[in-house]
Amino acid sequence: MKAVCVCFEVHLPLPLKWYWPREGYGAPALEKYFEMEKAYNNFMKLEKDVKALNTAVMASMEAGGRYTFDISGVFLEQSKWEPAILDSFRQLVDKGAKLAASPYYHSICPLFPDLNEFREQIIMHMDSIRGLFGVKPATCVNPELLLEQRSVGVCRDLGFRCFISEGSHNIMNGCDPSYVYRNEVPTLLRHIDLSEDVENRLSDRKWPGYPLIAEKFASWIAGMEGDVITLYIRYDSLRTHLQRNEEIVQFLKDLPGSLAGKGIEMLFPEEAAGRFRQEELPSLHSKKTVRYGMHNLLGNHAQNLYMNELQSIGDELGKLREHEDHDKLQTIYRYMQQSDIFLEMNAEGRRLGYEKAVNNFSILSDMKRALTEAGK
Amino acid sequence: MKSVCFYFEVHQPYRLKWFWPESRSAGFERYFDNDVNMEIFRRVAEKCYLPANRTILELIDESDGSLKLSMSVTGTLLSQCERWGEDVLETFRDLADTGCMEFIDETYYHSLASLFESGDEFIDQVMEHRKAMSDLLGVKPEVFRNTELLYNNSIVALAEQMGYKAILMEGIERVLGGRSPNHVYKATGSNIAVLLRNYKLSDDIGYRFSSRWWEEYPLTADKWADWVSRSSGETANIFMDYETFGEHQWADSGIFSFLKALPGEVMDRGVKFLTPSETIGRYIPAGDIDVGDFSTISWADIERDTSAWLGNDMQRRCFEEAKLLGPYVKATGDQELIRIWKHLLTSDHYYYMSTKWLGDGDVHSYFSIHSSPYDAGVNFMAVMMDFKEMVFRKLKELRH
Repeated sequence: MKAVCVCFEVHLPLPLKWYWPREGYGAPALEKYFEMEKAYNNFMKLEKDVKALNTAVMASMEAGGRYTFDISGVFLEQSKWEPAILDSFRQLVDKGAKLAASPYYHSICPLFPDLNEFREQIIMHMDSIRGLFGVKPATCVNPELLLEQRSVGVCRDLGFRCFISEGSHNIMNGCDPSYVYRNEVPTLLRHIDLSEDVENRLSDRKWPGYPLIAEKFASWIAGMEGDVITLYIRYDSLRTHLQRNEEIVQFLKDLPGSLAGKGIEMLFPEEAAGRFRQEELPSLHSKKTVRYGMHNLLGNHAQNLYMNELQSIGDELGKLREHEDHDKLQTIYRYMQQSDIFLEMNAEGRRLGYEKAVNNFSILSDMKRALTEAGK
Repeated sequence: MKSVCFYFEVHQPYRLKWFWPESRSAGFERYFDNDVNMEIFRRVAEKCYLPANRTILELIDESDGSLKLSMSVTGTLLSQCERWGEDVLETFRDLADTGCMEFIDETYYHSLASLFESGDEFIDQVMEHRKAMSDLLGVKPEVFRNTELLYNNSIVALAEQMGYKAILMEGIERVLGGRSPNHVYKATGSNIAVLLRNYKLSDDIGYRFSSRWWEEYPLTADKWADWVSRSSGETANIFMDYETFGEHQWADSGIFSFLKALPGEVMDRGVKFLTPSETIGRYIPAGDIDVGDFSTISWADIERDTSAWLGNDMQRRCFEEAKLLGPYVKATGDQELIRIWKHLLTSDHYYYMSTKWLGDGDVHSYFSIHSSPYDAGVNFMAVMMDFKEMVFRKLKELRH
C-alpha cells in the first residue's frame, strides 16, 4: 500500500420533534417541528471532547499527518451557539487540514430526480466554508457516503477533483477498495473494516485486535495490495473512545510516524486522486450504495413515502418563490431532508421506527397544509 | 334468573387501501378498498349474516313470538348491504317485520366521535343512523348502545338528550363495586336505564365456545341454560358480536346447532327472552351507574377502557389528526369529503393499530388488512396526510 486518506465526518443532526398538532394549524417554524433544545444541549456537551480531539489531531499533523474534515452545514449552523468549537476547527484548517463539501443540510437530495436542490446545497456549503474558513474544498462527499451516479456528474461540473463514497459489498464484490476509481470525478471508496476498527473497536477490550496501537494498524495496511486506503470516520464516535481512556490520543499522534515507517504516505483525497492511476470499476456506474446499505436509508414503505411527500413539498415550495416567507419555509424544508431522519425510520424489528414515521408524517402533513394555504 | 336479554353487534367497517399518494382514483375509492371490503362482506354474509338471520327467523317462527332478541346494525354495514348484499338486507328487514328483534341505535360510522370534547359530531352520526334504520328497516329505535360499549356520564347525557330510554354497558367490577350486573340500573343524574353485560355468560358463547383448553368444552345449550337459570338476579344481559355465529366460531364448531337448541333449553327452565325495552320496563332499577369522563369504559380487551383504540402513540396521534381536521372538512361543505372524514373516524382503523399483546392481539388483527399494527398506523397517516391536503385545497378554491 502506498497511501492512506483519513477523513472525519463532523455532524450532529437537528432531530424532528415528537409533534402534536393539538394547538392547531399555525405557521411553520423550526422550533415547531424540530428539537431545538435537545440539539442545543447535545451541541454544548461537545466542546470539551472536541477540543481534546482537535488537540490530538493537531499534534498528529505536526508529526506529518494529513486530515480532511467533512463538517456538515447543520453543524456549522449549530456552531453559532458556541464559536469556540468552530475556532478550534479553524486552527486545524489554518495549519493545513482540508475541508470537504457535501449537501449543506446533510441532505438526501442527491437522490432527488431534479438535482438543482443538490447543486444549490453544495454551493451553499462551499460559500459557507469560504466565509468561515477562507478555503475552497476540492473533495465532495454525500451524507452517509451515498453513491448516486448522477450527483457525481454535478460534482464534476462544480469542479471537484475527488469524490468519496462507500466501499460496500455490492460495489466491491469482496475486494478491498484500495485504488482510485475512474469516474466522472475520480472516486475513493471507504474501507469499511479498517474505518470501523478506528471508529468503533479501538477502545473495546473484548475485541481481539485490542489494543489498537498505530504500529499494529500501520502494519495491517502495509500488508495490503493497492495504492490507497480511504478511512472515513465519524468524529463523534471518537468521543466514545476518549471517554474511556487516552488511547485514541496516542493513536492519532503515532499514526503518521508508524505509516511513514512502513513507507506509506498520508495524503489528502484530492492528492491521491491526482497521483494514482484510475482503476475501472463497472459496478460504480450501475449501482447505488450508502453506508450500511440502501435498505437502511430508503428500504421500507414509510421511508419511501416520506421521500415522496418531501419532494411534493419541494414542488409546492417552488411555486412560492415570491412569497414573503419563502426563505424561512425553504430552511425548514431543507432540514426535513436530513439523512438522519430517514435512518431513524428504519424500523427493522423496532417499534420506534414506525412510531417516528407516523409522527414525521404528521409534521410533513402540517407543512404541506401550510404551503397550500400560502399558495395563491 | 327471570329473563335473558340478548344483543348482537352487527358491523363491518370500510377498510383503507394500502395507500400511495400517486393513486389516480378520486373520492371515496381513493382511500377505501372496494375489492377487499366487498370480498370480506360477501364472505361474512355467506358464513354468518345469512345463515344466522335465517336461523333466527325460523326460531322466532317456531317460538310463536316468545323468542325476543336485539341487535344494532351499523351504518357502514347497512351501506355495504345496499351495495353488495340486497339479499342480506332483506333478511334484516324480515327480522324487523317479526317484531321480535329490537333494533338499537348507535353512531352510523361505528366511530369514536363520542370521545370528542364536543357532542355535535356524535349527535349528527346518531341521527344519521336513526334515519338509516327508519329508511331501510322501517324501525325507530328507543335504546342506544355506543361503539364497542364506550360509556361515560357525558355519553349517557347525550343519549338521554336524544330521547333514548336505555343504554347498554359493559358489566365490569370497577363500576359495579360488588353489585351484580343481573339487574336493571339507572345512570347517575338522569332517568336513562342501563343494561350491563354479563361478560362471563356472554363470553362463554362469544369467546370460549370452541376453546378446547376450556374445562367446560364442549359447551352445550342445556349446560349454558343451566348456568343462566341458576344465576341470581332478574336479567342476564348477553351481548356479543353477531359474527360469533359462523365467523368467530365456524359452523363446524357446532355454533348453529347451539343457537338452534338455545331458546328451547332456556325457556324450558322458566327463563323468558326479553328485548332491552321490555327488560327495562319490567324491572325496577337496583341502583345508579356512575362513570366519570376520565374513566371511560368499553367492552374491549382485558382493560375494558379506551386503550384498544387510543392506547399507543400512533393511535393517539392519528385520532388527534382526525379530530383537528373536523371543522375544516365541514367548512368545505363538500359532502364526499365529509363522508370520507366520517369513515376515518370508524373505530376499527384505530383498533388495527393496537400493539397490545397478551391474548388480545389476535382479536385486533381479525378482519384487518394489515399484517402488523405498525403498517396500519403508517398507512392511516399516509391517508390522513393526503386527505388533509385535499381538504385544504378545497378550502383554497372556495376562497377564490
